[in-house]
Amino acid sequence: MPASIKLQREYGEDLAVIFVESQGASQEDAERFILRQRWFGTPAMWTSERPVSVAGSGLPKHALLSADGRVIAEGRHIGKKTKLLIDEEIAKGKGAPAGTPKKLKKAWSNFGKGKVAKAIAEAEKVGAKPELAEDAEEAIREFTRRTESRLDRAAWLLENGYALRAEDAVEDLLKELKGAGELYERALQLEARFEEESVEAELEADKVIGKALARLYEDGREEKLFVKLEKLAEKYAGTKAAERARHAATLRKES
Amino acid sequence: MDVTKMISSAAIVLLAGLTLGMAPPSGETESTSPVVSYAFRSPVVNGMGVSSLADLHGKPVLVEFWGTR
Repeated sequence: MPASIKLQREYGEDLAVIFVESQGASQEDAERFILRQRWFGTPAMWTSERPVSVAGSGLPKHALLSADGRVIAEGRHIGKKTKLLIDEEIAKGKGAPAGTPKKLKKAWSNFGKGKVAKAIAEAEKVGAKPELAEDAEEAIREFTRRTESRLDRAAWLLENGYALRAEDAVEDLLKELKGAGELYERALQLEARFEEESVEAELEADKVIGKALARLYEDGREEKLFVKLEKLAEKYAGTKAAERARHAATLRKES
Repeated sequence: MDVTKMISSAAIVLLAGLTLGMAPPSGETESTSPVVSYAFRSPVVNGMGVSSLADLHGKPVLVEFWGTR
């Protein structure tokens, strides 16, 4: 098992792992390979596009990007040094950026704890002092940008048939955004979507199909699991979750 | 070639390699660079709505290049 998968399992959502297939396999062939290796079932992502360049021609090789998106390490084997850098970057990502004035650190601390409304209010208070106004505005912009990104992700999950994950994401957002004006309004709008019939259908489908897919990822390419997914795709036809089941069932055939 | 000359030659080759930024064939090297901004053209498998590296800002990203053959 690649070290990246182990790290993804260890760090969960705190670390993003992107696998780049570099030998020209089609997406479906790559997916079959991943399924055979039982590497699905983590938040790791897969693509054939190269989002970053790394020197050298051998495989595997890797690049580590910092929390602010810079390449901070690259090489062939992932070892202790990479892990230490990941730990540092996770800590950085959760705290105030380097150079943040001391008086704004409390706002960042609140934001890191999920108290978004409190963080914005604190930054506004600090920003009343002219010498800190610009830094405070920057902090509020960043709090807003990161929160909007989470709201966008929850909306995406909802639109694309990951209703259970969307439900969890919206629940967290509602808790964290109470009192945060428009951001909270957006979370309430997302919550209201769960009353819609189509979303209820997605929730039901996602519960059953999600379990079947988890079993496929765990047990590997067993015929009976593909058959079950085909049946579920028919039963829940019309949902996005059924489309996922149908796609997974196509991976039984070798190209 | 005496031992001193051999050691000097090896040191020059090693220094040249380091100066040119050559990475060793294995292991880890650290580097710094500008912010990488890449927008994916096709959906990322298991991406859950991730369409660019910017979507992942705020957490470290480990990009691993691998092969299926």
